[in-house]
Amino acid sequence: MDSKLENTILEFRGIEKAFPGVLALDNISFQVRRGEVQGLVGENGAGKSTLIKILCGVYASDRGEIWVDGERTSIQSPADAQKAGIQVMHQEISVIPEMTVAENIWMYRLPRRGRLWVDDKKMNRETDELLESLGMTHIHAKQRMSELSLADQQMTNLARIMSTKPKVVLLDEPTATLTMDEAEKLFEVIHTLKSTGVAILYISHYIDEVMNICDRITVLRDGKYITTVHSAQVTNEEIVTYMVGKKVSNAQRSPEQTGEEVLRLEQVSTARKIKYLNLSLRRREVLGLYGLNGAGKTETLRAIAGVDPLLTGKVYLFGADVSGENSIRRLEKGLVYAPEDRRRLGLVMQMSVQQNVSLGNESKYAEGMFIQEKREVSGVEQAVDRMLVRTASLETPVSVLSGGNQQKVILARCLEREAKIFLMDEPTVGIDVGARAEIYQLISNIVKEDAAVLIASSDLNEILEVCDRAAIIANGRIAAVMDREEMIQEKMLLYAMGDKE
Amino acid sequence: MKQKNSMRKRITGARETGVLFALILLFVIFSMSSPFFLTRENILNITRQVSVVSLLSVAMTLVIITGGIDLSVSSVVAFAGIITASGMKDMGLSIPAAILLGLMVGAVTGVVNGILIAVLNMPAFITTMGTMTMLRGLGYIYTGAHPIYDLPKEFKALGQGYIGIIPVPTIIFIIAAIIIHILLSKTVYGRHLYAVGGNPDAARFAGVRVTAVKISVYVISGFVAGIAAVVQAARVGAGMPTIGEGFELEAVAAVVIGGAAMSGGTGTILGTILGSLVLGVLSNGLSLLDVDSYVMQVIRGLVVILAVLIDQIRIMMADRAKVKRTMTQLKEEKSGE
Repeated sequence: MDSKLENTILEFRGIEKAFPGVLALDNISFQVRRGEVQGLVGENGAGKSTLIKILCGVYASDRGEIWVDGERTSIQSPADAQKAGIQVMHQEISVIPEMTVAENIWMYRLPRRGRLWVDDKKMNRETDELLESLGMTHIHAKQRMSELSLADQQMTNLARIMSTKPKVVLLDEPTATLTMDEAEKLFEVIHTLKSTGVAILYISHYIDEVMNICDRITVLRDGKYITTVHSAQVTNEEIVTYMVGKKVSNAQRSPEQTGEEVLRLEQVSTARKIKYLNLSLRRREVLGLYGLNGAGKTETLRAIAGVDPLLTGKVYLFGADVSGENSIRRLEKGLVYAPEDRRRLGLVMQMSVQQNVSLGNESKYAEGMFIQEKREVSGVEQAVDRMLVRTASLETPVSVLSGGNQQKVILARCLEREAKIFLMDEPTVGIDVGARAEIYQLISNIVKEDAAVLIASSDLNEILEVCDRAAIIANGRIAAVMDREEMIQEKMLLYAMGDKE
Repeated sequence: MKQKNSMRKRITGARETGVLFALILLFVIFSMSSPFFLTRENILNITRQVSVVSLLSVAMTLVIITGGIDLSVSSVVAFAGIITASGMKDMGLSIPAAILLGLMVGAVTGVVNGILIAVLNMPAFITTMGTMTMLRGLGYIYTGAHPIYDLPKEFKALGQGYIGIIPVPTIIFIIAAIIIHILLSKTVYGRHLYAVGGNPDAARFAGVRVTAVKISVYVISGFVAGIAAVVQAARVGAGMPTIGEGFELEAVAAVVIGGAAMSGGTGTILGTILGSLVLGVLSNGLSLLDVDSYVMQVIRGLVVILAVLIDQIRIMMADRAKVKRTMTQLKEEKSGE
């Protein structure tokens, strides 16, 4: 054995995982060394989160082995992972706000006196020692969790993880909710952690961050292991090229002659992430809003649809300022919004296909307040046919349809509304390849009929396949707007990952 | 498509069919055990007895379909009844004017409930429990805990009279039920109630005025409780602060027995009427059999639990069948590999 191998603390050997219709992980093998920070990067859908879930016991792999500290380890549950010394710090912080820092850290292993009593003194003393050893001297054992800033809550979480003496710590987008200064502080703590010999697997969308903090970077793409490189020896561009690969883009739709501007955002900010955002959409155009998860795509659509109130800026529909109007007024002006979470936000599951298509638009088929059954059936039937919804009947509960057909039901509703502007959030997420192609075709048809479409997506291929232009959003701001000719995958991904140059 | 249509109606109808079956069973049992049960008089008497709670439960159906609950109705029955009686006795109002005043009390209570729940996002259970308690107290304060007696004969006819052979309260209930049934099954508004209860977020994104819809059901519920108050005051011939206690839970029970889910999105007027008849027939039959009233309470509670239990079992069996289907599918796929 050479010394390099001895240094390996965590090793993936031939990990494979399939989901219905996709091979999410295909023969993944790589090693993580003691005392290093290793970045794990890849586009959305590359397999990062599946791999993480396998490592922490949420999913079981179909094939392959995980070796921890030179031993083959079977990880079937989160408890197994913790027993093997693998700890995760998730994006969302889960704390009990009304309890103290010490109680949060020792929650599941409270030091006792006798069987019944908690040994508060010992707990607080050990907590302060722990916090000090991690360089978190500004946090104290007896503080209430709710008194701490979000960043310090996260630090406490990290301290709790370290108190278990882990071998491998997974940091999943740790800076997502932090300010710049707070992130800097976290990086310092990470340096301290390294010196204790723990290995850190670091997952982040931000390329500068990964290049800064990580010793080595492993790239996944389409469920495959691509390479592991030393961050000092590569450039941002090289990493992105690894991530994107040489993809053959599908046939692109030929753009229509675009018309006048129908939607305009000027300096729009909301309480949810987006900051001073500008955007413009023209008639007969498909605009892609590309960004990684958490970049602010959904929030942008919500601001346009009138769901979230604006803190700054203005939204114009067909040249008129609608900033003060609520979502229903905007809907009546022809702006429809198809949310990403169709089951939660798009459809009423107990209701039939017919009722879901006419939802909110029943007056179209009504005489006074009374719905005219025949008129409704014929209207809905037409829309359902045009949108290629495959359903046993109009009376079928929408809950039994496939994801693709559910999405088409929502499109049919928009169509019946004679909408002029379509906002679609991840229109093909969770939808199989065949239905996906159909939905792209439907989008083309919609545009031919004088409407405009704004697609928010974290899927580069989707953007390249259907969009005439693309706006790239990173960290709540538009980083770039590209015409068809300028849309190059590597460039788009670099902007999306917040590359500063 | 026509055939599928009737198929579906048969399946969703299953819930009401179950309640109907239970009702028929009760009829058979009581007819066999008491000679007084299956007489024209007694049956009409049942309809009169249930009319007040049934009025409440029909309106409660709308509230429960949106995923809410209105406990204040029982106190509206007392307080609006008191105000109506006082309108005739103390304020010197005409009968119609006094009735209108009673209905307004109900509607205003509904507006208050609706705004607290839909606009300020307060939980419906707590909010209406609060208005329920307050109104009950106001009734005692207003009357000094003494009933307001000696109401005009013409007014009492609303509760005690007949049109032909049918009791007036029964007729009032039937008219209200038909109107609300049509509202629920044939109108845009009715459709929106189901959508709001089924998935308020999706309804909002689709352009349904969710807040307005939610407020409206409490106003309707309060208004109908005002009608029930008038009928009840006319039946007993007085405005009384003690009246109607426990009606709110009976109304909820009728709706639930009728097949509506407390989580919202489902429920029908027909189901609720059947549910309310089940409870009414049970009370009537058991008292004809001289069953102790405390025992009766136990039985009524059991019936509510049983009704929901049967539904729950049906859901669990459907789930299990689904799991089984998926399992066989999975196995087929695996062997196909």
